[in-house]
Amino acid sequence: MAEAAGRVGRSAALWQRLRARPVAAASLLVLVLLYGAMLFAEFLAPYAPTTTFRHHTHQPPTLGFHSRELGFGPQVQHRVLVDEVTRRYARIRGQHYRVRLFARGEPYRLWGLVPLRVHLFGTTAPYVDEEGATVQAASGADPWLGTGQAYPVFLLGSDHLGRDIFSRILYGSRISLTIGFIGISISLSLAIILGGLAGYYGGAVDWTIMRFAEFFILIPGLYLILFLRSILSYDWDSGQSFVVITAILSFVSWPGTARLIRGMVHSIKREDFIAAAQLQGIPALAIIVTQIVPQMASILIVSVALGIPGFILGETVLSYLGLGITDPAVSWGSMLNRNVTSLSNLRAFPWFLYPGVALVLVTLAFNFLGDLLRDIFDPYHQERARG
Amino acid sequence: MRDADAGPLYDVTGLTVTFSTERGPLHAVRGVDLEIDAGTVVGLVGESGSGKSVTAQALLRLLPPHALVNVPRLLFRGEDVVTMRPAALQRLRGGRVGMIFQEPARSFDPIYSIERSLAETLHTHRPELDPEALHARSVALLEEVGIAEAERRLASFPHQFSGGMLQRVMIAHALAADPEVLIADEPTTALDVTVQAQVVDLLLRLRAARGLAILFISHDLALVGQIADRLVVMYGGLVMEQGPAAAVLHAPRHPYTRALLDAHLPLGVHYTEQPLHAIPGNVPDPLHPEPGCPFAPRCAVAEGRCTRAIPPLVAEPAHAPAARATSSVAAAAPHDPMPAAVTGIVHHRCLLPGTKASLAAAAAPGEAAC
Amino acid sequence: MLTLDAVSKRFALKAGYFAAARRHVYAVREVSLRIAAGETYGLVGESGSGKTTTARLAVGMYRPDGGAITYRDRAGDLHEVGRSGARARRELRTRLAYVFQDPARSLNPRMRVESILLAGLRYTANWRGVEDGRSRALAALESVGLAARHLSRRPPDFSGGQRQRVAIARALMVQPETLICDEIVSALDVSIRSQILDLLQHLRRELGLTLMFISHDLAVVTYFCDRVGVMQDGRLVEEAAARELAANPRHGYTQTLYAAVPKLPAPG
Ligand SMILES: Nc1ncnc2c1ncn2[C@@H]1O[C@H](COP(=O)(O)OP(=O)(O)O)[C@@H](O)[C@H]1O
Ligand code: SF4
Ligand SMILES: [Mg+2]
Repeated sequence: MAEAAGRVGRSAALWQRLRARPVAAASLLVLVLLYGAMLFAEFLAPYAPTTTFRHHTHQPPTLGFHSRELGFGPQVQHRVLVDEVTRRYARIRGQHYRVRLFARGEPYRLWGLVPLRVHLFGTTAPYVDEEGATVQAASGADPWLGTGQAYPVFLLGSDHLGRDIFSRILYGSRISLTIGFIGISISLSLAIILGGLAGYYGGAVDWTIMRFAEFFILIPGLYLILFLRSILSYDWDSGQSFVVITAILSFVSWPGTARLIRGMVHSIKREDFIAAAQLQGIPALAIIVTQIVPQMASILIVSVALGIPGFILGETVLSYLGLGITDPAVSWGSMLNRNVTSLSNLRAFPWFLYPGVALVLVTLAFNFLGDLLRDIFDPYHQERARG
Repeated sequence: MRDADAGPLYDVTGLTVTFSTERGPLHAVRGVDLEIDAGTVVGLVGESGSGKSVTAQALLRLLPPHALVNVPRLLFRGEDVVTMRPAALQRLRGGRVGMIFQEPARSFDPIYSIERSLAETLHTHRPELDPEALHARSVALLEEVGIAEAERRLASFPHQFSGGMLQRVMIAHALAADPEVLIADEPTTALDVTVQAQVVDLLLRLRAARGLAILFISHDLALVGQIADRLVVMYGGLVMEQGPAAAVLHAPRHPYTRALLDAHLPLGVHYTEQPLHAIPGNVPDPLHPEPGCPFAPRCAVAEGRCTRAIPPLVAEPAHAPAARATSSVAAAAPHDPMPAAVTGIVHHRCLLPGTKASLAAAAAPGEAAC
Repeated sequence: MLTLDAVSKRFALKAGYFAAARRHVYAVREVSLRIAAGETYGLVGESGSGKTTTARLAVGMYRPDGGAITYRDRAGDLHEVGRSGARARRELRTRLAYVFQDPARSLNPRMRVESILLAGLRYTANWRGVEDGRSRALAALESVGLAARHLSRRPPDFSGGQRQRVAIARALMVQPETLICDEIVSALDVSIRSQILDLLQHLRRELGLTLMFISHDLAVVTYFCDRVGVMQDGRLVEEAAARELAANPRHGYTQTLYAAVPKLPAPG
């Protein structure tokens, strides 16, 4: 009876707390939206991450909503370059292009499988260069035929090569948002195995593993990351970089979780069902993984939620420093690396910071959500921290 | 208060408690009538899951918010507990009604000394006491519950006590506010038999010394039989039988009571001589109560109609508390060892074979009432 | 046949770091007893008297600090219990099985019954693959009065009695010769207790089990066992045939236990 009551209590508590904490609820929403967007990046992004509009570099966000000619509705106004050095553009009066929903655009394969051409939005007007000449004759209604392009619309501006920052953020999230999950699974596995063994055996095993862990805790993570990355060779493609970065970050982040797990294993170990398992001759690692870890599932969920932002930020830092993801692959970190190279640069083209905004948003969202989960699953957290 | 002195301390009619759970409504208590008279020990017996603890908690409105309590009548000394204001309720809980539980170790905060926790309890109910009076009172209470060297033991912490000792301390807590009723929910189940016997002795002494009424809850009929004046037998959220302890133990009218008695293992019996009388099957699932008698799937004398509807309780006129011990029953049932004491409430259709005929003759009005 | 010869076991008391010497508490002191094949031996005493420690010593969970424990199996091989060799322990595990006191604690609440039953079998010599394991799990479950539909449930879905049945089924998975039952009915209701005792009696006859049966309740032990040992403060203070002990308790402590058993008032 008490157990049934407890179950009701938990799911009801989740909704009650979500309602009582709008920030956490909003965070959940943000994450759901971002991960959803990541899945449908090809459709949501008007352009591929590598598509360059040669005559439209360094453009600010160009989406407009009103003009005398087209009236109200999403549209872009044609701009021409007036200063080659500062990359300043002037708007051309009277030259507007409508932005349509579900516009035909660059062909792509959704999830690498389904060949499609429809994007959430885009223009269907032919591409025009800086002087205003149509670069490629529009063949009928489809400017994308052949090597042609449609006139670009930049929701969040364009970068130094004329690539759409909005599209690149969407594609970049594939690395930036997944590295957290992959990294945390590696680091959690390490933490479970090492922390589990330490807590389970105690004694010398415990001592050795925990001193090892403390070594990593004591060295500031960033320096360790830089050190590890710099002793490794530079010329990797992005796939290899991704793997190496994830591995490095996981290696740096396991000790904290391992310490938590060690403590819990140490107390769960005293339960009769563990004694029963030992008596049956089940090996230690099997007991830890199949019998002890599930007991702490809720705490682990919390530490996952709070641990993911670290990986996302870690990737960003490495990529920003040029030690991570490099062209043609794209991540939020690599976008910042390419674009935010100096303060004056940033002053001139503030929209280059949008990947950073996405980053902050995700980091905060995971933190707020993690806090909520902790309050639900681990209400005595504070007492424990104090005692 | 005036007429309450004559009536029972607790007067409960038709108590139902349903918990709303993820898997649907859980029918924990399905209509319980209970009376606790001043100075008497009422034994509440039944297997685990039969609703004993929920009933006890309902008496003090201690149930969690997802419990739906429906009780047409829940009076303590004539006062309606259901509509009681928070302040009065606070005085009831741990004040006029004390409670002790199965696992004393869980009821104590391990970081408080016995003195500190006892003083806290005393202070909430008697704020006028100064520290010295609190100390004196604490010592007196520990001595009352039979803890030697009370003065010294006050400084100890819960983990320094054995289970039996801790249960004594818990009783001291319950006595701190001079309650009129003590609700003891399986107070000895976690204890050894030897310690159990001591705790039962202590409770009986307290009853005698303080005129305390006790609601003693246990699954062990023999144990309850040692302490209770009246017995209430519960099963599947329902009262199966109630009556004076001696009557229920010696001449159970209900197949469930009989089965419980048979399941009791007397000392000195050996497996080579006598098989056990286990009750087959399991307690009913409170999420899916059967339409009829909850005991029907396990009952040796179940009939077809038992599974159709819950049999109504029948107060046998010859056994009603007001008309105790009429000799007509004794005459009608000469084989019954203690017929005079057979009083109480049973489903008439369950009356055990043998007593059935005689009682049908003696208690025709009961038959008609059904 | 299980033989304990002057077995002692002590536990270190948690002392401060600066304590001069480690202090110990003896849980079991020089206990000698012998359980013949097919016999049911009872141990009775209050909590803290050393029953559990004795049982755990007998099954090899603790290593004795003094004395020797040996087990002669049906094939006539002699095993030394408490020896550290992995092989020796492995062999012993299929002969001696242990059932814990409180099924609510000894069954992992998050595991399905099937996994609970199979978890240990995998690491014994009797493992013949998942299919065989499943059919054995079912057989074990049926032998304790549960059914196939219970395989996919978890311990919290069961009543106390059913849980103890699952715990017994787990012990039976390795087809042991000897079952050591530590207070397995103490946490159960009287009515359910009889069911479990019945079940054990049935299994004992069916499988020819040797039993070590522990309880603090004299009535249960003297009913269920052939011979009974009474423990007090880590010592075996009295040992007698069960009926003998029930009829004529000699030791003062046994008499105390005797007096404490709740008795139904005699009829009439
Ligand atoms: N793991 C342990 N550590 C310290 N003391 C223990 C441990 N296990 C048992 N003891 C002590 O040994 C004594 C005997 O306990 P136990 O064997 O559990 O008896 P019983 O089975 O009769 O309850 C008790 O004093 C108990 O506190
Ligand atoms: S006789 Fe019928 S009503 Fe009475 S206990 Fe048995 S099944 Fe229930
Ligand atoms: Mg024990």
